[in-house]
Amino acid sequence: MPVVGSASKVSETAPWPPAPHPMNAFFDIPYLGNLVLCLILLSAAYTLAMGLGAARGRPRLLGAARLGMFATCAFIALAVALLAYAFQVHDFRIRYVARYSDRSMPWYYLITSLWGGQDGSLLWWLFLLAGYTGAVTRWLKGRYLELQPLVLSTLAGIMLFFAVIMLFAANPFATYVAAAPADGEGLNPLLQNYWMVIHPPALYMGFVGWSVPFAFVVAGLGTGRLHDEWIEAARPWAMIAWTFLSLGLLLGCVWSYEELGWGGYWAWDPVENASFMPWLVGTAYLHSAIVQERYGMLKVWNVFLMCLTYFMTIFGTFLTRSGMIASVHSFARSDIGIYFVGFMAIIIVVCAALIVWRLPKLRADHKIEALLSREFMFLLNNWMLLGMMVLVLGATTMPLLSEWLLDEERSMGPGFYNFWMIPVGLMLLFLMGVGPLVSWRKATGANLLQAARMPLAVGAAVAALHVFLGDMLGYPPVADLTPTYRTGVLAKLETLRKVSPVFASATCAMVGSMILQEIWRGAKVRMRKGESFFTATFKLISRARRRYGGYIVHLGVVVMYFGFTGAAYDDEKEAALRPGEVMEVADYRLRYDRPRDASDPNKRMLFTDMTLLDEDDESLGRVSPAKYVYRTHPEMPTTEVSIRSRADADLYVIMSTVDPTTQRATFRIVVRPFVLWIWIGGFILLLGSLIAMWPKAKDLVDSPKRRRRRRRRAPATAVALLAAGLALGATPAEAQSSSLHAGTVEIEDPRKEELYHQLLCQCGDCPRLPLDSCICSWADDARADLSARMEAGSTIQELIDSYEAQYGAAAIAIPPDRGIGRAVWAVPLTALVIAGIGIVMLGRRWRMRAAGDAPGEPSPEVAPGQAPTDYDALLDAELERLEDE
Amino acid sequence: MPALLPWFFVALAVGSLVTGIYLFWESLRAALGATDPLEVQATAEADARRRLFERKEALLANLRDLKFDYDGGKISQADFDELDAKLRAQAKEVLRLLDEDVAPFKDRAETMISERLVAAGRDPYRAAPPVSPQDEAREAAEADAEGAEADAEAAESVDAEAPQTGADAERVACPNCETLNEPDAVFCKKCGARVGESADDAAEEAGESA
Repeated sequence: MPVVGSASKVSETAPWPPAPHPMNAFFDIPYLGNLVLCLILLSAAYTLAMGLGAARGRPRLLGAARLGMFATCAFIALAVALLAYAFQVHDFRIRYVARYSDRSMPWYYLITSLWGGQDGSLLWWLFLLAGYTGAVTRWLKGRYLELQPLVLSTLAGIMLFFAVIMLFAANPFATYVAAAPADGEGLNPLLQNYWMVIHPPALYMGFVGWSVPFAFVVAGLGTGRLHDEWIEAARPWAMIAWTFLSLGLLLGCVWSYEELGWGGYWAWDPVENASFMPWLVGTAYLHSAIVQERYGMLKVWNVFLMCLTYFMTIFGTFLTRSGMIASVHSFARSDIGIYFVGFMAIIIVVCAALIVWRLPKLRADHKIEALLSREFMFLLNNWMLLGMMVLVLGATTMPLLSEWLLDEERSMGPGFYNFWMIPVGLMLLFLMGVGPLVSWRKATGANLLQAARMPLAVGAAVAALHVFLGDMLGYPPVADLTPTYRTGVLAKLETLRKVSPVFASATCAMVGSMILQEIWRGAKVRMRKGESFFTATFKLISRARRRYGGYIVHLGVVVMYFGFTGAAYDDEKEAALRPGEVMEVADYRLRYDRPRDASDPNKRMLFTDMTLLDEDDESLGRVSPAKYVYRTHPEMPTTEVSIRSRADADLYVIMSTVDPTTQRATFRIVVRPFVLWIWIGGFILLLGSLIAMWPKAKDLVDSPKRRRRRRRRAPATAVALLAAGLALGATPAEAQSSSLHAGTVEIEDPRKEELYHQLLCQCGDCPRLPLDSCICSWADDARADLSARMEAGSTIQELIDSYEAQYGAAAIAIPPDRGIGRAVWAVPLTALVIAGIGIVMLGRRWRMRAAGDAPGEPSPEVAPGQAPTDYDALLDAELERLEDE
Repeated sequence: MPALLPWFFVALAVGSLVTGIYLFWESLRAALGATDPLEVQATAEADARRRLFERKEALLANLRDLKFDYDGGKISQADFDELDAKLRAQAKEVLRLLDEDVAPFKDRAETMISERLVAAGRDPYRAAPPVSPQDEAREAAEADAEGAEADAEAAESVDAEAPQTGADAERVACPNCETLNEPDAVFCKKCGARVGESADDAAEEAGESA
């Protein structure tokens, strides 16, 4: 019997379709799969019940709940194994398998197809949840016994939800009513690359990971144990989830940069935003938790932020899956939306009820006593990150909001996001640097200035350098950016935007030196004891991993931000060349040599070889952009970009068309500085996170019971491996694919470029592509018409207005700054300003109250003031021991 | 390899199914009271102890961070004093609670040591090598803080003691500091002075030459 499921060609003498795999012929996999889904449902419901029972005073049921949880995880593994098997043996009776794979796909893509579509990716989500849950259940053996029952119940509840969705709305084991097709449709060529192997898993690990800390917060609220326990327990899990989410986001950036052929790493696409929003809130939570651990403050904030983070992961996935907002990413529109809406409603109701019920227990131990204090910096941090999240949320859901409120659909293009996020990001960057310099409780301005002396000087020096030398070096301090708003009050802010490069460079330099200064100071204290600089720094970081790991993460953010600033200095050129001709962009000269044909079983490849030349026409290197035509999707040729990455700039070469007969080819070349630093910064960020998470050796070898903490290492090692993968993946690579219509359009006139950038193609086939990117015939006609009218004398604004009048407000990339278009930014900004004023007023009141006020209630677990003083000696000995470790 | 992959998933599926059914069955048995897989009572005590221990570690870390911030000028003297005092009070209370928690084990350890000494024919109150029973018991008690190993460790420390007490008779007292050294020692292990026969010889020589 021919062996099916192997990677290679189908032999001509073998029967068609090939006989089924022996196991498959024996068992009815689809039927089994459905049965297993029911089993998962039952098991999750049982565990939920056991957990609740144990929480209500039957501790023996906790053992039952734990075993039930492990059983549920095993059943989920079973379901995944069955689906994976079905893919490997090409069981095309199952709709999902037929839709996302074909017989020509190699085994590793058959595995990745598991999460290539809606239903399977839900099962994949459940699988990762089972992995996390299994790990946390094992970790919880013998600890946090009071919290444990509700933790298990919450996780079981989440599993129950996903089981319900899969059984009733998106069943991965659903079969065809008619006979199975002989061959499947195959995975979208866009997804057949190694990125598909690492980006979704990493991102899902990030999303799903937040379920665990969420379970801890629900357990804390449910049991009323709200002082420290839940935060302490949730901390390692929150860090793991955050790290994976950051990794997933970074991998997504690299992937889109190398793959999608339009030269960007972030498009503010709804699905991208959907994963960015939980990241923002999660970051706020991680910082805010520090204040609670130190001073028992911001308790309500922490509970709220944790619930919100989890909610945003579900909301994000809802946005992606329901297809309610068009995006290059989205899955097909389906009925699954209503289930998610129900789940989100339950989350909101349960969380709100729990928080309101436990409000008395969430009183802070201390109050914020001064505005210039570290606690207040953290509060500011919370507000700013929350504000950013609300802004992104509003703009992302704009199409839904405007349709609901105004009956016409509008959307926000990248210009809107960049307009707001860049300055807010800059402010956040500044806060990131200044925060650690501010003292706890109450800082003095003089103290702060003293601490910030050196970094301020560095910042000023860099700003001066930029202003005076920037033009000469090719990085002018004032950038000529395409304005987003041309009318109204925001148009005045456009001038500020122009100056942003010098602000950015100064802030990056200042914040970078603030962080390095902190590390230096810490090392200096240790060096007084006689250690060398390297020993001191190493030991410093190793003794206080959370603090210094955090500083390293901040350093990574600074480097990344520096990388982002390069976007202001884009240089771009398009040209049609014959073999032998040379084109010049910025400081680069490229000669087009020849076209080249190649093919493999999956696709036909059309390369165009180019050589990079130096002044003496000597070769500096070769680049070979290409177009791939996949056999299974011949109507969707993909553009393969060639990227040459160097520390000063990336050379991004796109081949738009090539004519085999005349050998003429059109190219678009983009030179963007500093892109490499984004990936380097990302790597530093992940490294810092790993350091912060890394368990101490003593936690591993202390006692047999403690040995279980080794479990934390597994995710840490996985992160390290994936991070290494990122580092390797960021090297110059041959990239693949773009979306169907996106291409390059030769536009000479910058005014026309500006106009086309604002208007969206209405051909109906492409998702939200502006006229300067869409290569369909409708767009061609529209461009011709607009071009003629512009030459006849119409202004850009008039043309935009007439386009809007003709096709509706949804046809404009950035809605005009009136009505809901203004509300999207005005509401969060006003809320922020009001909050700011409110805090200042509260601050005054606190300061007046601080003098005569007794501090809040201390930890309820331990009442001070009863221990005799001979414990002082023991305490000092213990502190010494801590130092010597 | 690719041909084996389907079988790998089959194996995985079978394994998961069997494991799942077994675990579910055990869970039902636990729910119905037939087993107590968690040993809830003992685990609860161990958990409470562990919570205290972790609370101590957290307070110590907080104290250290506070000192660090103070050294770095991030907190004023007055604020530091107030917070430091409060944290120290909390930490001392936790230490006291830990000691209280461990007290029954400490008493039991002392009883066991006495019993063993009596059984070996020694007087349990005779002068021992220079480690005070208080510190010894405290060390034993602190090691017991994890809970379950208490008996084993007490027995171990007693066993380690037994050979020592047996050989006590042959031990030599140092003329300088009174420390008991091994019979064949030449120099005292504590103060370095000559002990035993070589000490007598040296004293004689010194006496003769003087």
